[in-house]
This record gives sequence, structure tokens and C-alpha cells, in this order.
Amino acid sequence: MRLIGPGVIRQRDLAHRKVTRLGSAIRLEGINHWYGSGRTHVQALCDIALDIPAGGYVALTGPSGAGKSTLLSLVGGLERPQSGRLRVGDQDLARLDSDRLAAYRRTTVGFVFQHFGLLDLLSARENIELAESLSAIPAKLRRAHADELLSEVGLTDRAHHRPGELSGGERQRVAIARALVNDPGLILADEPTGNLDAGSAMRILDLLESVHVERGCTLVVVTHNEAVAQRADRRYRMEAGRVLP
Amino acid sequence: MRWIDSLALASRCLRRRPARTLLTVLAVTLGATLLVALGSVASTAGSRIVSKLSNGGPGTAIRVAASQADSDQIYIDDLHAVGPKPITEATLNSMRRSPHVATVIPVMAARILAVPPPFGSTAASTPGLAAFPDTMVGVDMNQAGNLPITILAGRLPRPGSLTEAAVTESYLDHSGMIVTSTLGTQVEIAEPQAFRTADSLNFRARWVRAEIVGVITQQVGSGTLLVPIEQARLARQWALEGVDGGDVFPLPTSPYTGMVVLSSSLNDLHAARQVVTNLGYANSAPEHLVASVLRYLRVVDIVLAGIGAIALGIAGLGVANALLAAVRERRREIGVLKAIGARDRDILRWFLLEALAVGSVGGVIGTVVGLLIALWVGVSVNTYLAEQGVQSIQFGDVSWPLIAAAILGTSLLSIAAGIVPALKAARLTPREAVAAA
Repeated sequence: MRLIGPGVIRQRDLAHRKVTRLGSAIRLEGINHWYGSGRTHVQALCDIALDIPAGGYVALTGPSGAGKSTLLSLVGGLERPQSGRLRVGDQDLARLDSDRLAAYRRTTVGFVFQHFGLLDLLSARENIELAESLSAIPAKLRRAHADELLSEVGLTDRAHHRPGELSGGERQRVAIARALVNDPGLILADEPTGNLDAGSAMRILDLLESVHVERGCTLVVVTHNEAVAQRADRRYRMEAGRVLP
Repeated sequence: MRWIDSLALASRCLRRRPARTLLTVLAVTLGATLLVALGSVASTAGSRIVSKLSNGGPGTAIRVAASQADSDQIYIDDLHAVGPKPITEATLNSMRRSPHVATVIPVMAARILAVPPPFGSTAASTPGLAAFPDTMVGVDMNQAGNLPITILAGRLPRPGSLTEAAVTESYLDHSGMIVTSTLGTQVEIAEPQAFRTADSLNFRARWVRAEIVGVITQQVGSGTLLVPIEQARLARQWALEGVDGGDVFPLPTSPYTGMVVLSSSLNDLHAARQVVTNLGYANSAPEHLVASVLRYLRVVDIVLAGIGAIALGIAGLGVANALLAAVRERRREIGVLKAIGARDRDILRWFLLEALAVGSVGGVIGTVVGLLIALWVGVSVNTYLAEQGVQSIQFGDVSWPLIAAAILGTSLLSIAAGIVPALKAARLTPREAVAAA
């Protein structure tokens, strides 16, 4: 399937592409995580146990400080849990060294941030090419691949524009295109609609869901917005570092 | 991430903050400029001083006389002779075999009578223009650059020429001429020969007329005329064809009246001098004086290098400060890059390449500016010297080791200055950096 614009889907041939897929579900067992020490000690996650099925669409909701983003950063390999077991597919993230964790983020995970996370000095295409440069994608294929991804998110005509010249929704679409560079098995979106108006937010969600459906990847969305969370297959609510039953 | 991608990213980031990049490059440029300018001027001044101590010739020159050395010769710079000792071809060859000797240049002198213009019988009666007895010094003109000869005006005679001569200021005093009017004039040279008639010893001369092509100062031998050695050899041969003129005009006993021995380097000067002295020849070289002056020059070099190093150190701090600011400013970008899979070494390389780019660009510009400043200093000094009527100094020699050291040094220094900020950036956890947004 190919997305011509947000929410518009048609058949596509994925046979020529290397697709990284999760081998199994995301499993968290007895995860504890804290920041600081002594008087500044903050328990961010407390005895988290969670199973997310491969190819699932999960929303994490809860108030600020509940531990949603921390949980997302652990699953995304941005940091290691301080105790407990965290497996994504057949990989135990707590045991991966720095380089392997970077390789995990590069090949398995696609991040979408609330603040978009685009480099202001690069154009939309160059932002995608930068992510490609971190992978094994040959330099001569990068431009065509980046253009293909921009086309997929409906931004072909914005390839030369820098983030400052794009609307919030367009920036987030570039960020999604960048997240798809390695055809990841897991997309982690941290408040992807937090900086967008309602219309743009829905279009971004449409796009993320299309990617999720089309590519069969697991989609985890952190959000404050109940309307956004309602669209997920499964919702988890977090409070004070715990996942509520 | 490949090196070329890191370099492209570093280049883009540098261009994003042109003012900060420019100021950082300027700091490195100033450091490199100071280092190169001071190095060039010190190097030129040092070689000029050594050259001056060696009377215009290389500092490695040893003047050897056809005389026996006394026992103290090796300990003093001046000539200490106790009697004649011929210099032969065997002597020259023996010297040339020494590993401390670069080259050996024989000197042949001949006694003559010099007659300045106007020529003819009336000349002797013209006040200030009297013919005068003197010595004609002959050397291989192809080796003139290795001899203690300084050209004040004009040029040296062509190698092998029998019709050209250079004169010293002493000739000007005798002839009553000035430098500018002397060039192009001729001098008559009478090369004497003693012969015996039935009842007495008489003298006759072989007359040669030579064009004066240059005015010089020279420390090769004692004499007012400098000619190609072929001219001196003819004069000696002519003298030997006569008879011994006694105290007035004795026959030359040594094939050569002296030689100039060039040691391989200043460090070899003492060893080369020992070879000469061990062969028994009296000699002179500014060995101890040069060594003493070189020690002072070394102190000056250290002081100047210290000033340059301080400037480069400040430049390094500038690079480090700019990069630390960049790390603070780009925490979010670093986090995003790590989140999408950049390794620590990718981040490290990114910042080190930025440092290298700033350092190498500043180093190249600083080196060029430093050389131009050294050249400008040379022109200013020479203008002053010309106003004072003193010989100018040869400036503007390009010291490739200095250039290489400046560019390589600033580049390495910048990398060194960038290590701490780059490590700081590389060690940021992706979570911390992303949270900074």
C-alpha cells in the first residue's frame, strides 16, 4: 500500500525492500527506574509489567510525571532500565552495550517526537538523508529513497524546505518520514499531536495509523489526549510510575 | 555515519553560526600568524647574525692559512700561526675525505702592482692615483656563494674570466674613486717576476688589464683584488718562472696560500676544525663566538616560541569555548541524532571535525598572513637599512617546515581543544539530550 496523502492508501510492493520486523512482543517485567539520588531521588517507574503484542497499536495515557515518556525512552533504547527485564523481540535491552543499543535504535525503532526533532539547518530531504547516512544505505540511493519517503507522507513539493518554512503538521510528517527510513518494526510516538491543531493532529494520526497498518509495525503512542488514545487498539493509563490495571 | 557525512554535517553547523565561526577562526588565525611571523623573522635574523659573524659567508666556514698552527689553535677562534706550512693538492684531498667536511675551496694569492686609471706614465704623478703594491686573491668563482664575500655593488667576476676583477673598498681608498664610478672602469695589474742580469737582480711584469665588475668586502685572503683562481694561477706560474727575489719578492713555496673549509653543519664545525688543526694548519673560524651567539639566539627562539604558544593556547581555548557553546546549544540535536541511531563515536567525530575545520582554515590563513607580515617586516627593515646606507637583509625565504608545523600544529591543537567538548557531547545520553528540548 502507498500513502499518496494523509489517510489515502493504495497498493504497494514491499518485496524489494529490507523490512525489519519485531520477532516477538515487547515484554516488560518488574521494571523500576529512577532519577537522581538522596533527596533528589525520583521514582519514575515502579514495578512495571506490560506486554505489547507484535504489530499492536497501544496508547499510553496519564498525567504529566506519570512515567509515560520514561517508559517510552526505555522501550526505545534511549536508556537502560535500572532493574527488571525489558525484551523487545529477542533482544534484552538491559544487556545491550552502547553501540548495540544505537544499532537497535537505528534498525528497529522509529521515533516521532512532540517537538518534531528535525535539524533546523537541514531541509526536509536532508533531514531524512541524515538518518539514512547513519544506516548502511549507499549515498547514491539516499536521495531517491528520501524522495520516496517524502512522497509517502505527501510532501514531495516540500523537499527543499527547512523545518522553519513548514507548518507543524508538515514538520511532523517529515519526522514520520524520517522514522520510516529503516522500515522499523516499532514506532514510538511521544505526544505526536501535542503541538498541532485538531485538524493537523487527526491527519498525523491517520498517517501513523496508515503506516502501522501498511507496514505491520508496532505503534506505541504517548498522549494526554483521550481522543487520540481512543483510536488505539489497547490503552494503558499510567499514574505515579505505575500502569493502572 | 561515514566521514564525509560527518564532515558535511560539521560544515553545515559551522555555517549556521557564521559570526561565532568567524571569531573562532580569527582566534586560530591570530595564533598561527604570530607563530609564523615570529618564526620567520627570528629564523631570518638568526641566519643573518650567524652570517654576519662569519663575515658574509656561511657560519660553517673555516679559513685555513698555509701556516703551521700553534698548540692553542683549537681553543681560540683566531688564526695562531708559528711558521709556513704548504697547502698542496694532497692536503685538499685529505680534508675532503673527512665526514665532517662538506667542501674545500682552495685560495691562491699573488703579489701584484695595481694601477688605477688613468693609465700611463703620468698616472704616478697624479695625487691619489698612484700605483700601489697589493695582493690579488684568486678563488673558484663557482664556489663564491660559500665564501665570506659580500657584494656591495655590481657582481663577482665570471668563473674562469681573465679580464674581470672585483675590488674591495681599500682599492677605492687607494684610487680615490667612489663605488658608483668604479664599476666598469679598468685596472692594470702588473704581475712581477724577478730575473737576474749579469750584475744585479731585476724585476719585470706581466701586464693584465681587467674590468672592475664589482665592489666587495671579503675575508678570503688579504688583498684588494678578487679574481678567478685561473688568473691567480697564471700570476703564480709567471713568478715561478723567474728567480727568487729575496726579501723583496720571494718565490711562493705553497701551491695554495690558503683554503676555506666548509663543515657539514654548525654542529660539525668543531670536529672539522679539529681535522684541520690535527693536520697542523693554522686556521680561524668564529666557532666559539657563533656557539655563544647561537645560545642567545636559542633563548630568543624559546621566548618567541613561548609567545606563539601562548597565542595558540588562547586560540585553543577559543575553539574549546566555541565548541562547548555549540554542545550546549545542540543538546536537542545530539539527542535526536542518538535517538535515530547515531553512535557515540559519530557524535565525537562530528564535533572533532568541526574543530579540525576551524583549526585548519585558521592555520592556513594565519600562515599566509604570517608570511606576509614577515615579508612586510623585511621590507620595512630593508627600507630603514637603505636609508642608513647599510646592506639590506635577504627576507622572504619560505620555511616549509615552519609552514607545515604551523598548519599541522593549529589543526592538531584545535582537535585537542575539541576533545573535551566532543566527549561531553558524545557522552550525553539520548534521553537527557531529547529531554533538553
